[in-house]
Amino acid sequence: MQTQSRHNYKEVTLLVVDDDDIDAIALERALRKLRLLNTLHRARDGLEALTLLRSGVISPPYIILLDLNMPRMNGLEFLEALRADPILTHAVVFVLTTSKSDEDLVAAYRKHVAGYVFKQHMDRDFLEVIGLIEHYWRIVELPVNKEMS
Amino acid sequence: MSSNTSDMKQTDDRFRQVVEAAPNAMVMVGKSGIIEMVNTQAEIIFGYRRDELLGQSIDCLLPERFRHQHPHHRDSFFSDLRPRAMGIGRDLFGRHKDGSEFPVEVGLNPIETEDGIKVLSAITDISARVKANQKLAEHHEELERSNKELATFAYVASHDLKSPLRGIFQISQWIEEDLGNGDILSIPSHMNLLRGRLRRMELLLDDLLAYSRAGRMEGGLSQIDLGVLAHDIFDMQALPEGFTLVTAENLPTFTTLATPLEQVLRNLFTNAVKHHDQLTGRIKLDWQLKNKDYYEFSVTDDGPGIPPEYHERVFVMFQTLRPRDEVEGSGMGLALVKKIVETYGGKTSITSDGIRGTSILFTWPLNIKGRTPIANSI
Repeated sequence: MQTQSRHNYKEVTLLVVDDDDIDAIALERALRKLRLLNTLHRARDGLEALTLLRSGVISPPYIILLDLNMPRMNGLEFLEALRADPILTHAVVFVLTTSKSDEDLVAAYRKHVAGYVFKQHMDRDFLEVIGLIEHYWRIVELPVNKEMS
Repeated sequence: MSSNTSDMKQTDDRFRQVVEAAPNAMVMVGKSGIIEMVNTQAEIIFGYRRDELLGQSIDCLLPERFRHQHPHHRDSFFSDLRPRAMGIGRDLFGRHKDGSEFPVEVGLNPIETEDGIKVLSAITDISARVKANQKLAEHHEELERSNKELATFAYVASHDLKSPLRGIFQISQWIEEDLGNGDILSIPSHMNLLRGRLRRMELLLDDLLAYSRAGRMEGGLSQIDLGVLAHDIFDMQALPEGFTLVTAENLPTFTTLATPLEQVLRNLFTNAVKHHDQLTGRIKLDWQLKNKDYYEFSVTDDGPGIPPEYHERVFVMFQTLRPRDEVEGSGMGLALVKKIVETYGGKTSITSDGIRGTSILFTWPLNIKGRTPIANSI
């Protein structure tokens, strides 16, 4: 708990919503490489993510890392459902996607994502992204779902 | 007086020569609609001899459904005499002696004669033009469809085809890293993942190729007994034991393009088995006569079913309902089925309550026509 002793912030939980096992493993490895011990949850599509979030398994504060192309419920549909949910609506979401489509980008920001990141540069990107998100949660105050406690 | 009569005759002869020489069919009628003069072109396009037309009502050159309005139109022409086109904005048809109809354009001209006012109609058979326009519209539609397909292709190619590549790149780095850290135990599982991605990439490319060719590789017409064909296809798929195909009795024997129909059935059978949640299952092929032009076939399984909210999505290229890491599949099966079926004018649909069993239905023409798609080249 080296980082926690140096900085006084609440440990952030990460929820990865991605159907691709390799991307999930890559995030895990990036966390390990940066010696971050945050709890990492994984959902394989939007529906599974909603179920996890609504079950309360994901303890706040949390950040959602969202892929767009997924089976059953894709990323944009997930955002739609998330923002329509009175409790989950303020969740912080980063989109991590291979989609360079402008429509996807605009649609994601319209659903108030915190950032839209292309994951095209393979491995290095995950380190950078996790680095960015680590800085983000150290500096930014995240909502803690007061309604639920 | 006699010279005047001969002048008149000369004028009349000249007029007849002009009418005869006209490139269009010409028909002259009097106020009562009786044919008084025709030219050779009129004989050709309507199929009557001159003596069969002269003295007859103009009605015989019209399809029956238009005849009752014609006297009314004729009267209104005679009350406002000026050259004009007939029936502007309406589609006009002539009727051939053999009863067939053809699209025409008709120009009307009032002519003053000794016996009073006549109407001289110039009639053009525009079948060729109408056909060309239809063809143009078809090409246009085909082009639009093909462009849309290309856009979808570009989108999915950037995601679905690229993601195994990214995966392979990533795994190769993990292997390097883990070897550097002396962690050899992780290598076999990395290698496994890596080979999985390579197989996936191959599958995606194969299916994409099959999709782009769908509707083009049609082979020839042959007589098939669908009951026999279905069992042949099913047996050839080397599907896991425990799955059986049941075919309805009296499945039709008919002449059709066997290759695309086989492709449709093969995809539906493998799909039903691949997504089954049990070790044993029963797949049923049934049929009915949908209408006078189409059969409707259905492939029904007793697998986990597809909830109604996904019924549209499953026909879209590269869409899967389970992560590829769970059920390896390109997501092309039903998209391919849909494309093939639509190539031959059929439709696909799906029924499932999402609890147990799915039926995929598709219509297939009784009399198929080989087709050469024109703008279908991705």
